Amino acid sequence: MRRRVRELVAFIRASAREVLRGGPEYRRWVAFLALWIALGGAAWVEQLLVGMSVTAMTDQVPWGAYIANFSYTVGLASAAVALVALSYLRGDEDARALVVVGQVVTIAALTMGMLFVVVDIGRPDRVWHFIPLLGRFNFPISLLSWDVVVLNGYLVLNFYLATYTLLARFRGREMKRLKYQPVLALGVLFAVAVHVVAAFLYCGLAARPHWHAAVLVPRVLASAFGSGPALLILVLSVLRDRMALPVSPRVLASLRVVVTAALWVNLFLFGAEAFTEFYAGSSHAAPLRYMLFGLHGHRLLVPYLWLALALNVGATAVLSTPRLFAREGLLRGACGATIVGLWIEKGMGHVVPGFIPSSLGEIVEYSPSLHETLVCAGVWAAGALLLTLMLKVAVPVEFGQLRLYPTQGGPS
Amino acid sequence: MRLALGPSLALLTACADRPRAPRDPPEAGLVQVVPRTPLLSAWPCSEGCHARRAPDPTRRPLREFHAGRTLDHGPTLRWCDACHPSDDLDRLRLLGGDRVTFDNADQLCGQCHAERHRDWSRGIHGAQSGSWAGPTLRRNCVACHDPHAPQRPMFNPLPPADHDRAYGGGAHP
Amino acid sequence: MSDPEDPALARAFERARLTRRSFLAAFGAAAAAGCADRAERSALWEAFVQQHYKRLTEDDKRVIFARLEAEVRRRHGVQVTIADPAPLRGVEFGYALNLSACVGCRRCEHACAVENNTSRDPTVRYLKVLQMESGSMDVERSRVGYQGPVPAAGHFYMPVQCQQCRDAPCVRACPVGATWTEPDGITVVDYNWCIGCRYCEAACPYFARRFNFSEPDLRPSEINPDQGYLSNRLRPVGVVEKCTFCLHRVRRGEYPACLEACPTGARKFGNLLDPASEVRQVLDHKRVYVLHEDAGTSPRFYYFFD
Repeated sequence: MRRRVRELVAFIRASAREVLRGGPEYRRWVAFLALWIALGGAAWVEQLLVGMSVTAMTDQVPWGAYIANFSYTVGLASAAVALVALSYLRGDEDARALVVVGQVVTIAALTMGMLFVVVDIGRPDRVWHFIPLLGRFNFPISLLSWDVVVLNGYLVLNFYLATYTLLARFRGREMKRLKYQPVLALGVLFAVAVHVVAAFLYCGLAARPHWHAAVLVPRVLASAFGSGPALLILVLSVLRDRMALPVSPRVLASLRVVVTAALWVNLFLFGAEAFTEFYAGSSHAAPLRYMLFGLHGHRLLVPYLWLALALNVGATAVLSTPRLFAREGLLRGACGATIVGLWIEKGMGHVVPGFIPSSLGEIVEYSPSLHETLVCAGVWAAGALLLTLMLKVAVPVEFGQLRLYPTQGGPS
Repeated sequence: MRLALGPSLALLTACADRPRAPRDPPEAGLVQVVPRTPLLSAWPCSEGCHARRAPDPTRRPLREFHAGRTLDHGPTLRWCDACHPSDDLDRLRLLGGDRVTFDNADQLCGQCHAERHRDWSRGIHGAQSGSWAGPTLRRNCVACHDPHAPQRPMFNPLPPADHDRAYGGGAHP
Repeated sequence: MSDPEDPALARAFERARLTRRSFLAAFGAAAAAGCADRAERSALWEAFVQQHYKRLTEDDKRVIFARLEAEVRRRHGVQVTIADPAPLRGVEFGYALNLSACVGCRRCEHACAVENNTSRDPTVRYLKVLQMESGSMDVERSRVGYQGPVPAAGHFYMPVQCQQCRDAPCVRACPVGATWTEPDGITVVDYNWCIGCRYCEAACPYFARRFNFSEPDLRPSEINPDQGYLSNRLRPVGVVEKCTFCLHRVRRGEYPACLEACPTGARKFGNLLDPASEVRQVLDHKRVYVLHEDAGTSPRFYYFFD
């Protein structure tokens, strides 16, 4: 027991050392993120001081950039389960070594998601009301309470899996199957639940015809499995180039296939939705019409949504053409386009039109205020910083440069 | 001080809901029709002005007395004495010749507007105040409708909220 | 230089003062250290740890109401009374609105704001009067900002407020149970429990809920001192509020403020369980309909033409 504690302390100290040292590029990157975190933090403090009136949200559009980013970052959390599926379902050994990277990306994504909720609520001082028994947790009636459960659960599971893996590597021990694989299986269940609940959150609302559609569930899943793995491809290729992470091309290729399939499914479902809405031309089509063509002269989101559509179609085209995706730059570009395109489409493009027109037919447009933009940037920077720091430790530990007992294979 | 600590301690102890005893509703009361006669400044007519001067049964623009009163209700042939009998100016005459007080003016209106009158007596038509449980105060027809010219004037609406004015709302701002 | 008589300026100063307070309130214990007054500090702490309404004992409520009254006295210099009338036995409140009679004069909208202490700047109103186009029930073709004499030709008017649903989507949405339907059918909010996530606003098909994006702003002279804990007491910043059929009035037997203000008698209110009540007379003798029936909310608010 005492040795365990000693080893844990050693791990924490080694991690701290690892995080604190780095070349000028690393320092610049961390400083850059810290600057944005500070700016976002300052904007959030002002939001607390003045009220949510510093945002552009209204009673007509009560959710804006925060919840849009929340939905999207939760989608990014699919990174871990994508690698787990590759490594265990397909038995890909190269992928198995990278699972921890996927888990780290997932932890960062979920943390961002939760931060976006915290900055969105009007009374962050009352978050304790969520705590079962002490507070009053409306479970299982409220879908938001389900979201709290699955997000926290998935975060804890990924945190456990990642630290367990890394600690075992650090101590030079074999991982015990019983302590790892059941949790991993549970994690897959939670991964699916995270996306399904994120969709149910919206499609459970009969008040909002734009969301009140079953097709939303597969669409949310499709965009999650497009954006998460696309981000993972970028992260892995950066790590390969910067930290000499051994990433086999096979893993990247498999992830690319996942992204491509998800993009196709997403486009197909979008087409099906557009047909359903526009062919009948009922008033349910109003939000989609607002998104794509504008409604009664209001067209704030139109260029933004067409940009998303263009990015998604472009990315799908590149990722479906071997001659194009074979070129590293184009592959990365397509992944970037996927990330941005889905961010627009499943972020603001998903949340805001749900409120336009309002349930009493008002058209109140929304575009984030400076405060909101800064806070969002701050949360993204916090996520990126968390990801950077975690990877700074995880990569050398996972691949053996950082060991508790560097000379021997570990204590017997 | 002990009391002031209550809510903090409740935090630790109280996880269960505390049921609240419902109260009995107020006793059901009566429906009262706001009497009309106290609001009439020159009533009783026969003891005031018309004690000195008999009503003039000829149709003419009213200039000297009841100035500005126009008759724009139903058939144009009607004149004052259709409802205000010259021999009984303090009461109203129903079509059949029966007399009712000004407080029961609704009976006069109800002769033609039977459906409205029925709705009014059920509490469906017309304004009310007081208590939903009783006593409810109901206004007589003439509190809102001028029986001589029942066409309702237009209202000036109170201003909309700033954001409503700004957005206009809907398809037609 | 600055004119102290300028109401806009006075409001701005007042807001700045209140904002500081609400920030302190928001941070409870942590920020309390910066507060000079010990009583104020303990009030902040009490507010921070206050339990859900349904878990409060009568003693707790007495302490809390006294604290809230003292807070209004300190901040606005107004003596208010916060009561908590219990629901009435055998009573389920219902509302009926005669669209043939409504002329769209907005008297109800304004009376509601006065009665319920809603913020004047920014303007918060529970009630919206829609100017509908004749021949259409499509709210998308309605407008709310209309001006000029009413009723305007070619239009009818439809006031919309909380429909007090039997199956309220807002109640289902709330993750912390801060909003619920009382036994007499009124959906209320515990303003001291709401976390301000606005999921209920997203869930409401009637646009009945309002969020306090800033500290509600009322002048002392505008504060209605007759207050109910679950209805019209002054709300803090960052929480959701809504129409409660003037719960503090109707549980005393009075009519809601919007009804009393209506000059045309378009509004009918009463006990749905009492066949003699005005609202039941409407249901029994008129053809009524509910708004957005397709949303499955089963409102206690009925519309009719006659």
